[in-house]
Amino acid sequence: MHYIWKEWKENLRGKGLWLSLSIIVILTISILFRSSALSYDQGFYILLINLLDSLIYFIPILCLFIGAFSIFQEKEQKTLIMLLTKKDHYPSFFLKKSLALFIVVLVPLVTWFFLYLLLIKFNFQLDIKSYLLFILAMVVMSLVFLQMGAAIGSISRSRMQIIGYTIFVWFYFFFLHDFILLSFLPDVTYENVKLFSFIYFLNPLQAVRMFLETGMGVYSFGHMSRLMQAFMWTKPILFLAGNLLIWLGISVGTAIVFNRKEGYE
Amino acid sequence: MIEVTHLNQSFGKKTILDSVTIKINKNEICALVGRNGAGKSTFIHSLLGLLPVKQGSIAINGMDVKKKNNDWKRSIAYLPEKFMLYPTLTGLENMSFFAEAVSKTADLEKIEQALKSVRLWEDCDVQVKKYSKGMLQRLGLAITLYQDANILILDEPTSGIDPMGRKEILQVLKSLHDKTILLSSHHLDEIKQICSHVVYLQDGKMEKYTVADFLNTHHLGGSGL
Repeated sequence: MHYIWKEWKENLRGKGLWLSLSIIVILTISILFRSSALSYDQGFYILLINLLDSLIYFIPILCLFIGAFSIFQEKEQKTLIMLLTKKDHYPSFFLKKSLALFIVVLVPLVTWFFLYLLLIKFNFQLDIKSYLLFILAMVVMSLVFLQMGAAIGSISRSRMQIIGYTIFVWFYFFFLHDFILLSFLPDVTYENVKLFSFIYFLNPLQAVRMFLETGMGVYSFGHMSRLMQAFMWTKPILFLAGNLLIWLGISVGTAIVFNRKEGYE
Repeated sequence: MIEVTHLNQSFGKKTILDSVTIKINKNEICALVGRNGAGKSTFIHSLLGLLPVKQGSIAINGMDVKKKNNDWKRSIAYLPEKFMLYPTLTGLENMSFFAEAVSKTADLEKIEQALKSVRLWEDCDVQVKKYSKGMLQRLGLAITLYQDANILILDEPTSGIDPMGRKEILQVLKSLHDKTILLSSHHLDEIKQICSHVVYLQDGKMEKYTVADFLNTHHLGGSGL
Protein backbone atom coordinates (compact mmCIF):
# COMPACT_ATOMS: atom_id res chain seq x y z
CA MET A 1 0.00 0.00 0.00
CA HIS A 2 2.81 2.43 0.84
CA TYR A 3 4.26 1.92 -2.65
CA ILE A 4 0.91 2.90 -4.21
CA TRP A 5 0.61 5.97 -2.00
CA LYS A 6 4.19 7.05 -2.73
CA GLU A 7 3.80 6.48 -6.48
CA TRP A 8 0.52 8.38 -6.47
CA LYS A 9 2.01 11.45 -4.74
CA GLU A 10 5.10 11.38 -6.95
CA ASN A 11 3.09 11.25 -10.17
CA LEU A 12 0.55 13.79 -8.99
CA ARG A 13 3.33 16.29 -8.33
CA GLY A 14 5.42 15.34 -11.37
CA LYS A 15 4.91 16.22 -15.01
CA GLY A 16 5.10 12.89 -16.88
CA LEU A 17 1.67 11.52 -16.07
CA TRP A 18 -0.12 14.85 -16.61
CA LEU A 19 1.64 15.35 -19.93
CA SER A 20 0.64 11.87 -21.11
CA LEU A 21 -2.92 12.31 -19.90
CA SER A 22 -3.23 15.71 -21.57
CA ILE A 23 -2.12 14.16 -24.89
CA ILE A 24 -4.89 11.57 -24.56
CA VAL A 25 -7.47 14.20 -23.52
CA ILE A 26 -6.62 16.51 -26.44
CA LEU A 27 -6.62 13.60 -28.89
CA THR A 28 -9.95 12.16 -27.76
CA ILE A 29 -11.65 15.58 -27.73
CA SER A 30 -10.35 16.42 -31.21
CA ILE A 31 -11.70 13.08 -32.49
CA LEU A 32 -15.07 13.88 -30.90
CA PHE A 33 -15.16 17.23 -32.68
CA ARG A 34 -14.23 15.59 -36.00
CA SER A 35 -17.05 13.06 -35.50
CA SER A 36 -19.77 15.65 -35.04
CA ALA A 37 -21.01 15.10 -38.59
CA LEU A 38 -21.66 11.38 -37.98
CA SER A 39 -25.23 10.07 -37.62
CA TYR A 40 -26.80 9.99 -34.14
CA ASP A 41 -27.62 6.25 -34.14
CA GLN A 42 -24.53 4.73 -35.86
CA GLY A 43 -21.87 7.39 -35.17
CA PHE A 44 -21.01 5.99 -31.74
CA TYR A 45 -19.42 2.82 -33.21
CA ILE A 46 -17.46 4.79 -35.82
CA LEU A 47 -16.24 7.09 -33.06
CA LEU A 48 -15.01 4.12 -30.98
CA ILE A 49 -13.15 2.63 -33.96
CA ASN A 50 -11.60 6.04 -34.69
CA LEU A 51 -10.57 6.34 -31.05
CA LEU A 52 -9.00 2.89 -31.14
CA ASP A 53 -7.14 3.70 -34.37
CA SER A 54 -5.66 6.84 -32.80
CA LEU A 55 -5.04 5.68 -29.23
CA ILE A 56 -3.34 2.52 -30.45
CA TYR A 57 -0.47 4.80 -31.56
CA PHE A 58 -0.22 6.83 -28.37
CA ILE A 59 -1.08 4.61 -25.40
CA PRO A 60 1.66 2.00 -26.06
CA ILE A 61 4.50 4.49 -26.38
CA LEU A 62 3.34 6.61 -23.44
CA CYS A 63 2.96 3.54 -21.23
CA LEU A 64 6.36 2.20 -22.31
CA PHE A 65 8.04 5.49 -21.35
CA ILE A 66 6.12 5.92 -18.08
CA GLY A 67 6.93 2.33 -17.01
CA ALA A 68 10.57 2.49 -18.04
CA PHE A 69 11.40 5.85 -16.47
CA SER A 70 9.52 5.04 -13.30
CA ILE A 71 11.77 2.03 -12.62
CA PHE A 72 14.90 3.73 -13.89
CA GLN A 73 14.40 6.72 -11.59
CA GLU A 74 14.55 4.39 -8.60
CA LYS A 75 18.04 3.42 -9.77
CA GLU A 76 19.08 6.97 -10.56
CA GLN A 77 17.88 8.32 -7.23
CA LYS A 78 19.60 5.37 -5.46
CA THR A 79 16.35 4.59 -3.68
CA LEU A 80 16.34 1.10 -5.21
CA ILE A 81 19.64 0.18 -3.62
CA MET A 82 18.49 1.60 -0.26
CA LEU A 83 15.35 -0.54 -0.42
CA LEU A 84 17.20 -3.67 -1.50
CA THR A 85 19.65 -3.47 1.38
CA LYS A 86 16.73 -3.73 3.77
CA LYS A 87 13.80 -6.15 3.52
CA ASP A 88 13.03 -6.09 -0.19
CA HIS A 89 14.32 -8.46 -2.85
CA TYR A 90 14.31 -7.30 -6.43
CA PRO A 91 11.29 -9.46 -7.43
CA SER A 92 9.19 -8.16 -4.54
CA PHE A 93 10.25 -4.56 -5.25
CA PHE A 94 9.43 -4.97 -8.94
CA LEU A 95 6.00 -6.47 -8.34
CA LYS A 96 5.00 -3.83 -5.75
CA LYS A 97 6.26 -1.05 -7.99
CA SER A 98 4.42 -2.48 -11.03
CA LEU A 99 1.17 -2.73 -9.10
CA ALA A 100 1.52 0.87 -7.90
CA LEU A 101 2.27 1.97 -11.46
CA PHE A 102 -0.82 0.20 -12.85
CA ILE A 103 -3.08 1.90 -10.34
CA VAL A 104 -1.54 5.35 -10.75
CA VAL A 105 -1.81 5.27 -14.55
CA LEU A 106 -5.12 3.45 -14.95
CA VAL A 107 -7.20 5.37 -12.40
CA PRO A 108 -6.86 8.77 -14.17
CA LEU A 109 -7.14 7.12 -17.61
CA VAL A 110 -10.34 5.23 -16.81
CA THR A 111 -11.74 8.29 -15.00
CA TRP A 112 -11.16 10.33 -18.15
CA PHE A 113 -12.91 7.72 -20.30
CA PHE A 114 -15.99 7.90 -18.05
CA LEU A 115 -15.99 11.72 -18.22
CA TYR A 116 -15.62 11.41 -21.99
CA LEU A 117 -18.74 9.28 -22.05
CA LEU A 118 -20.69 12.29 -20.74
CA LEU A 119 -19.45 14.34 -23.69
CA ILE A 120 -20.35 11.59 -26.20
CA LYS A 121 -23.83 11.37 -24.72
CA PHE A 122 -24.84 14.70 -26.27
CA ASN A 123 -23.90 13.65 -29.82
CA PHE A 124 -24.64 9.93 -30.17
CA GLN A 125 -26.91 7.13 -29.08
CA LEU A 126 -24.85 5.24 -26.50
CA ASP A 127 -24.15 1.53 -26.33
CA ILE A 128 -22.79 1.11 -22.80
CA LYS A 129 -21.70 -2.51 -23.33
CA SER A 130 -19.55 -1.55 -26.32
CA TYR A 131 -18.08 1.37 -24.41
CA LEU A 132 -17.14 -0.86 -21.47
CA LEU A 133 -15.47 -3.27 -23.93
CA PHE A 134 -13.56 -0.31 -25.34
CA ILE A 135 -12.38 0.69 -21.85
CA LEU A 136 -11.40 -2.92 -21.11
CA ALA A 137 -9.40 -3.05 -24.35
CA MET A 138 -7.59 0.19 -23.44
CA VAL A 139 -6.89 -1.07 -19.91
CA VAL A 140 -5.41 -4.35 -21.18
CA MET A 141 -3.27 -2.52 -23.74
CA SER A 142 -2.03 -0.11 -21.05
CA LEU A 143 -1.24 -2.97 -18.64
CA VAL A 144 0.78 -4.88 -21.24
CA PHE A 145 2.83 -1.87 -22.33
CA LEU A 146 3.32 -0.52 -18.79
CA GLN A 147 4.76 -3.87 -17.76
CA MET A 148 6.96 -4.01 -20.85
CA GLY A 149 8.12 -0.48 -20.03
CA ALA A 150 8.89 -1.48 -16.45
CA ALA A 151 10.97 -4.37 -17.80
CA ILE A 152 12.86 -1.97 -20.09
CA GLY A 153 13.57 0.32 -17.12
CA SER A 154 14.75 -2.69 -15.18
CA ILE A 155 17.30 -3.90 -17.71
CA SER A 156 18.54 -0.47 -18.84
CA ARG A 157 21.67 1.23 -17.59
CA SER A 158 21.07 4.67 -19.08
CA ARG A 159 18.32 6.95 -20.39
CA MET A 160 19.63 6.46 -23.94
CA GLN A 161 19.18 2.70 -23.60
CA ILE A 162 15.60 3.26 -22.44
CA ILE A 163 14.84 5.40 -25.48
CA GLY A 164 16.43 2.83 -27.80
CA TYR A 165 14.64 -0.20 -26.33
CA THR A 166 11.30 1.64 -26.16
CA ILE A 167 11.38 2.77 -29.76
CA PHE A 168 12.38 -0.74 -30.84
CA VAL A 169 9.49 -2.39 -28.95
CA TRP A 170 7.00 0.13 -30.30
CA PHE A 171 8.33 -0.26 -33.85
CA TYR A 172 8.26 -4.06 -33.53
CA PHE A 173 4.59 -4.24 -32.59
CA PHE A 174 3.52 -1.64 -35.14
CA PHE A 175 5.44 -2.74 -38.20
CA LEU A 176 7.98 -5.50 -37.76
CA HIS A 177 5.70 -8.19 -36.29
CA ASP A 178 3.21 -7.96 -39.17
CA PHE A 179 5.99 -7.55 -41.69
CA ILE A 180 7.70 -10.76 -40.55
CA LEU A 181 4.40 -12.67 -40.60
CA LEU A 182 3.67 -11.34 -44.07
CA SER A 183 6.75 -13.11 -45.38
CA PHE A 184 5.41 -16.44 -44.00
CA LEU A 185 1.92 -15.93 -45.43
CA PRO A 186 2.44 -18.05 -48.61
CA ASP A 187 3.37 -21.05 -46.43
CA VAL A 188 0.24 -20.92 -44.25
CA THR A 189 -1.94 -24.00 -44.69
CA TYR A 190 -4.95 -25.41 -42.91
CA GLU A 191 -2.58 -27.62 -40.87
CA ASN A 192 -0.36 -24.83 -39.54
CA VAL A 193 -2.82 -21.93 -39.47
CA LYS A 194 -3.35 -22.29 -35.70
CA LEU A 195 0.34 -21.69 -35.06
CA PHE A 196 0.26 -18.74 -37.43
CA SER A 197 -2.82 -17.36 -35.66
CA PHE A 198 -1.18 -17.81 -32.23
CA ILE A 199 1.85 -15.80 -33.33
CA TYR A 200 -0.33 -13.21 -35.08
CA PHE A 201 -2.41 -12.60 -31.96
CA LEU A 202 0.69 -12.51 -29.78
CA ASN A 203 0.82 -8.92 -30.93
CA PRO A 204 -1.27 -7.10 -28.30
CA LEU A 205 -2.36 -4.49 -30.83
CA GLN A 206 -3.94 -7.16 -33.05
CA ALA A 207 -5.55 -8.94 -30.12
CA VAL A 208 -7.03 -5.66 -28.82
CA ARG A 209 -8.37 -4.71 -32.26
CA MET A 210 -9.95 -8.11 -32.86
CA PHE A 211 -11.47 -8.14 -29.36
CA LEU A 212 -13.04 -4.71 -29.75
CA GLU A 213 -14.23 -5.07 -33.34
CA THR A 214 -15.90 -8.42 -32.70
CA GLY A 215 -17.27 -7.23 -29.33
CA MET A 216 -18.97 -4.28 -31.02
CA GLY A 217 -20.25 -6.45 -33.84
CA VAL A 218 -18.27 -4.53 -36.45
CA TYR A 219 -16.41 -7.68 -37.50
CA SER A 220 -18.57 -10.74 -38.07
CA PHE A 221 -17.57 -14.40 -37.76
CA GLY A 222 -20.33 -15.51 -40.18
CA HIS A 223 -19.63 -16.87 -43.68
CA MET A 224 -15.92 -17.51 -43.08
CA SER A 225 -13.80 -19.95 -45.04
CA ARG A 226 -12.55 -23.10 -43.28
CA LEU A 227 -9.09 -21.60 -43.17
CA MET A 228 -10.38 -18.41 -41.50
CA GLN A 229 -12.44 -20.47 -39.08
CA ALA A 230 -9.30 -22.39 -38.11
CA PHE A 231 -7.43 -19.06 -37.84
CA MET A 232 -10.00 -17.84 -35.28
CA TRP A 233 -9.66 -21.05 -33.24
CA THR A 234 -10.70 -19.43 -29.97
CA LYS A 235 -12.73 -16.46 -28.73
CA PRO A 236 -11.18 -12.99 -29.14
CA ILE A 237 -11.42 -12.40 -25.38
CA LEU A 238 -9.27 -15.48 -24.82
CA PHE A 239 -6.71 -14.17 -27.31
CA LEU A 240 -6.71 -10.93 -25.35
CA ALA A 241 -6.49 -12.62 -21.94
CA GLY A 242 -3.74 -14.96 -23.19
CA ASN A 243 -1.87 -11.99 -24.57
CA LEU A 244 -2.08 -10.18 -21.24
CA LEU A 245 -0.84 -13.19 -19.28
CA ILE A 246 1.95 -14.08 -21.71
CA TRP A 247 3.34 -10.55 -21.96
CA LEU A 248 3.03 -9.85 -18.23
CA GLY A 249 4.88 -13.12 -17.59
CA ILE A 250 7.61 -12.44 -20.15
CA SER A 251 8.08 -8.85 -18.96
CA VAL A 252 8.25 -9.76 -15.26
CA GLY A 253 10.61 -12.67 -16.00
CA THR A 254 12.90 -10.51 -18.14
CA ALA A 255 12.92 -7.72 -15.56
CA ILE A 256 13.85 -10.06 -12.73
CA VAL A 257 16.43 -12.16 -14.56
CA PHE A 258 18.20 -9.35 -16.42
CA ASN A 259 17.76 -6.50 -13.94
CA ARG A 260 20.66 -4.13 -13.42
CA LYS A 261 20.58 -2.57 -9.99
CA GLU A 262 23.39 -0.16 -10.76
CA GLY A 263 26.20 0.32 -13.21
CA TYR A 264 28.63 -2.08 -11.60
CA GLU A 265 27.57 -5.25 -13.39
CA MET B 1 30.63 -6.36 14.07
CA ILE B 2 31.74 -7.06 10.50
CA GLU B 3 33.99 -10.03 9.84
CA VAL B 4 35.29 -10.66 6.33
CA THR B 5 37.39 -13.75 5.66
CA HIS B 6 39.34 -14.47 2.46
CA LEU B 7 36.86 -12.59 0.29
CA ASN B 8 37.58 -12.71 -3.43
CA GLN B 9 35.70 -10.72 -6.05
CA SER B 10 36.58 -10.48 -9.69
CA PHE B 11 34.96 -9.21 -12.87
CA GLY B 12 36.05 -11.37 -15.78
CA LYS B 13 39.82 -11.82 -15.43
CA LYS B 14 40.27 -8.69 -13.32
CA THR B 15 40.63 -9.35 -9.61
CA ILE B 16 39.06 -6.58 -7.56
CA LEU B 17 39.28 -8.06 -4.06
CA ASP B 18 42.07 -10.53 -3.42
CA SER B 19 41.57 -12.69 -0.32
CA VAL B 20 40.44 -9.76 1.81
CA THR B 21 40.36 -10.55 5.53
CA ILE B 22 39.27 -7.80 7.89
CA LYS B 23 37.41 -7.37 11.16
CA ILE B 24 35.58 -4.21 12.17
CA ASN B 25 34.71 -4.32 15.85
CA LYS B 26 31.57 -3.20 17.64
CA ASN B 27 31.16 0.60 18.01
CA GLU B 28 34.22 1.32 15.90
CA ILE B 29 34.11 4.18 13.39
CA CYS B 30 36.22 2.99 10.52
CA ALA B 31 37.13 4.79 7.31
CA LEU B 32 37.30 2.86 4.05
CA VAL B 33 40.06 4.42 2.02
CA GLY B 34 41.45 3.70 -1.42
CA ARG B 35 42.02 5.29 -4.79
CA ASN B 36 39.16 5.66 -7.27
CA GLY B 37 38.55 2.25 -8.83
CA ALA B 38 40.37 0.41 -6.02
CA GLY B 39 37.25 -1.66 -5.27
CA LYS B 40 35.58 0.23 -2.42
CA SER B 41 32.12 -0.02 -4.02
CA THR B 42 32.67 -3.71 -4.76
CA PHE B 43 33.60 -4.27 -1.09
CA ILE B 44 30.55 -2.33 0.13
CA HIS B 45 28.18 -4.10 -2.30
CA SER B 46 29.58 -7.44 -1.13
CA LEU B 47 28.86 -6.49 2.50
CA LEU B 48 25.31 -5.53 1.56
CA GLY B 49 24.62 -8.78 -0.27
CA LEU B 50 24.18 -6.95 -3.58
CA LEU B 51 27.07 -8.89 -5.09
CA PRO B 52 27.16 -12.65 -4.60
CA VAL B 53 29.97 -13.91 -2.37
CA LYS B 54 31.43 -16.85 -4.32
CA GLN B 55 34.73 -17.18 -2.48
CA GLY B 56 35.31 -16.34 1.16
CA SER B 57 32.78 -15.33 3.76
CA ILE B 58 31.20 -12.26 5.32
CA ALA B 59 29.56 -12.27 8.74
CA ILE B 60 27.46 -9.37 9.99
CA ASN B 61 27.05 -9.61 13.77
CA GLY B 62 27.94 -13.28 13.45
CA MET B 63 25.35 -13.97 10.71
CA ASP B 64 26.55 -15.22 7.35
CA VAL B 65 25.34 -12.96 4.49
CA LYS B 66 25.11 -16.01 2.21
CA LYS B 67 22.22 -17.36 4.29
CA LYS B 68 18.88 -16.89 2.63
CA ASN B 69 16.87 -15.81 5.69
CA ASN B 70 18.32 -12.28 5.48
CA ASP B 71 18.15 -11.74 9.26
CA TRP B 72 21.51 -10.02 9.00
CA LYS B 73 19.89 -7.22 6.95
CA ARG B 74 18.21 -5.93 10.13
CA SER B 75 21.62 -5.11 11.60
CA ILE B 76 22.82 -3.04 8.68
CA ALA B 77 21.80 0.30 7.15
CA TYR B 78 23.33 1.77 4.03
CA LEU B 79 23.52 5.28 2.67
CA PRO B 80 24.76 5.37 -0.92
CA GLU B 81 26.85 8.08 -2.51
CA LYS B 82 25.03 10.85 -4.42
CA PHE B 83 21.55 9.62 -3.59
CA MET B 84 18.55 11.83 -4.36
CA LEU B 85 15.60 10.12 -2.61
CA TYR B 86 12.16 11.08 -4.02
CA PRO B 87 12.50 14.78 -4.97
CA THR B 88 8.78 15.59 -5.21
CA LEU B 89 7.99 14.12 -1.80
CA THR B 90 8.62 16.07 1.40
CA GLY B 91 11.27 15.05 3.90
CA LEU B 92 8.59 13.57 6.16
CA GLU B 93 6.97 11.63 3.28
CA ASN B 94 10.35 10.20 2.28
CA MET B 95 11.00 9.18 5.89
CA SER B 96 7.55 7.60 6.20
CA PHE B 97 7.97 5.63 2.97
CA PHE B 98 11.29 4.14 4.02
CA ALA B 99 9.95 3.54 7.53
CA GLU B 100 7.05 1.53 6.07
CA ALA B 101 9.44 -0.31 3.77
CA VAL B 102 11.44 -1.46 6.81
CA SER B 103 8.57 -2.18 9.20
CA LYS B 104 4.93 -2.48 8.21
CA THR B 105 3.85 0.75 9.89
CA ALA B 106 5.71 4.01 10.31
CA ASP B 107 6.32 5.02 13.93
CA LEU B 108 5.71 8.78 13.83
CA GLU B 109 7.39 9.42 17.17
CA LYS B 110 10.49 7.63 16.02
CA ILE B 111 10.45 9.54 12.74
CA GLU B 112 10.22 12.83 14.63
CA GLN B 113 13.09 11.75 16.88
CA ALA B 114 15.27 10.78 13.88
CA LEU B 115 14.53 14.05 12.06
CA LYS B 116 15.23 16.08 15.21
CA SER B 117 18.55 14.28 15.71
CA VAL B 118 19.71 15.59 12.30
CA ARG B 119 18.02 19.00 12.88
CA LEU B 120 15.54 18.63 10.01
CA TRP B 121 12.26 18.55 11.90
CA GLU B 122 11.45 22.20 11.07
CA ASP B 123 11.94 21.52 7.34
CA CYS B 124 10.21 18.15 7.22
CA ASP B 125 7.24 19.47 5.21
CA VAL B 126 9.43 20.92 2.46
CA GLN B 127 9.80 18.97 -0.80
CA VAL B 128 13.20 17.29 -0.98
CA LYS B 129 13.99 18.95 -4.33
CA LYS B 130 14.23 22.24 -2.39
CA TYR B 131 16.74 20.82 0.12
CA SER B 132 20.42 21.76 -0.02
CA LYS B 133 22.92 18.91 -0.48
CA GLY B 134 23.74 18.99 3.22
CA MET B 135 20.06 18.78 4.20
CA LEU B 136 19.54 15.89 1.79
CA GLN B 137 22.50 14.05 3.28
CA ARG B 138 21.15 14.64 6.79
CA LEU B 139 17.75 13.30 5.70
CA GLY B 140 19.52 10.20 4.38
CA LEU B 141 21.20 9.83 7.76
CA ALA B 142 17.83 10.18 9.50
CA ILE B 143 16.47 7.36 7.30
CA THR B 144 19.37 5.10 8.27
CA LEU B 145 19.02 6.05 11.96
CA TYR B 146 15.29 5.20 11.92
CA GLN B 147 16.15 1.64 10.93
CA ASP B 148 17.74 0.94 14.34
CA ALA B 149 20.59 -0.89 12.67
CA ASN B 150 23.73 -1.09 14.73
CA ILE B 151 25.99 -1.09 11.68
CA LEU B 152 25.96 1.92 9.34
CA ILE B 153 27.70 1.83 5.97
CA LEU B 154 28.06 5.30 4.51
CA ASP B 155 29.42 5.88 1.03
CA GLU B 156 31.16 9.27 0.95
CA PRO B 157 28.64 10.95 3.25
CA THR B 158 30.20 14.41 2.89
CA SER B 159 30.94 14.33 -0.83
CA GLY B 160 30.05 17.59 -2.60
CA ILE B 161 28.87 19.33 0.56
CA ASP B 162 29.98 22.81 1.71
CA PRO B 163 32.15 23.10 4.88
CA MET B 164 29.21 24.03 7.12
CA GLY B 165 27.15 21.10 5.85
CA ARG B 166 30.11 18.76 6.36
CA LYS B 167 30.56 19.99 9.89
CA GLU B 168 26.91 19.28 10.67
CA ILE B 169 27.08 15.76 9.27
CA LEU B 170 30.29 14.99 11.14
CA GLN B 171 28.67 16.23 14.35
CA VAL B 172 25.76 13.83 13.84
CA LEU B 173 28.15 10.94 13.14
CA LYS B 174 30.25 11.78 16.20
CA SER B 175 27.16 11.61 18.38
CA LEU B 176 26.41 8.01 17.38
CA HIS B 177 28.32 6.24 20.14
CA ASP B 178 26.42 2.96 19.97
CA LYS B 179 26.92 2.29 16.24
CA THR B 180 29.56 0.53 14.22
CA ILE B 181 30.24 2.80 11.25
CA LEU B 182 32.12 2.08 8.04
CA LEU B 183 32.41 5.17 5.89
CA SER B 184 34.25 5.61 2.66
CA SER B 185 35.98 8.96 2.42
CA HIS B 186 38.65 10.90 0.56
CA HIS B 187 39.01 13.55 3.27
CA LEU B 188 41.81 13.03 5.77
CA ASP B 189 40.61 15.83 8.03
CA GLU B 190 37.24 14.19 8.59
CA ILE B 191 38.87 10.78 9.08
CA LYS B 192 41.09 12.37 11.75
CA GLN B 193 38.07 14.00 13.39
CA ILE B 194 35.72 11.07 13.73
CA CYS B 195 37.38 7.74 12.90
CA SER B 196 39.30 5.42 15.17
CA HIS B 197 40.53 3.13 12.40
CA VAL B 198 41.21 3.04 8.66
CA VAL B 199 40.88 0.11 6.30
CA TYR B 200 43.03 0.76 3.26
CA LEU B 201 42.33 -0.95 -0.04
CA GLN B 202 45.09 -1.17 -2.60
CA ASP B 203 45.64 -3.63 -5.47
CA GLY B 204 42.85 -5.85 -4.18
CA LYS B 205 44.42 -6.20 -0.74
CA MET B 206 43.01 -4.65 2.41
CA GLU B 207 44.80 -3.65 5.58
CA LYS B 208 43.53 -2.17 8.82
CA TYR B 209 45.34 0.56 10.76
CA THR B 210 44.66 2.97 13.57
CA VAL B 211 44.33 6.48 12.16
CA ALA B 212 47.73 7.53 13.55
CA ASP B 213 49.46 4.44 12.13
CA PHE B 214 47.82 4.97 8.76
CA LEU B 215 49.04 8.58 8.57
CA ASN B 216 52.56 7.60 9.56
CA THR B 217 52.78 4.56 7.25
CA HIS B 218 51.58 6.49 4.23
CA HIS B 219 53.35 9.76 5.10
CA LEU B 220 50.11 11.74 4.82
CA GLY B 221 50.05 15.16 6.37
CA GLY B 222 47.59 17.01 4.10
CA SER B 223 43.83 17.06 4.16
CA GLY B 224 42.98 15.10 1.00
CA LEU B 225 43.81 11.65 -0.31
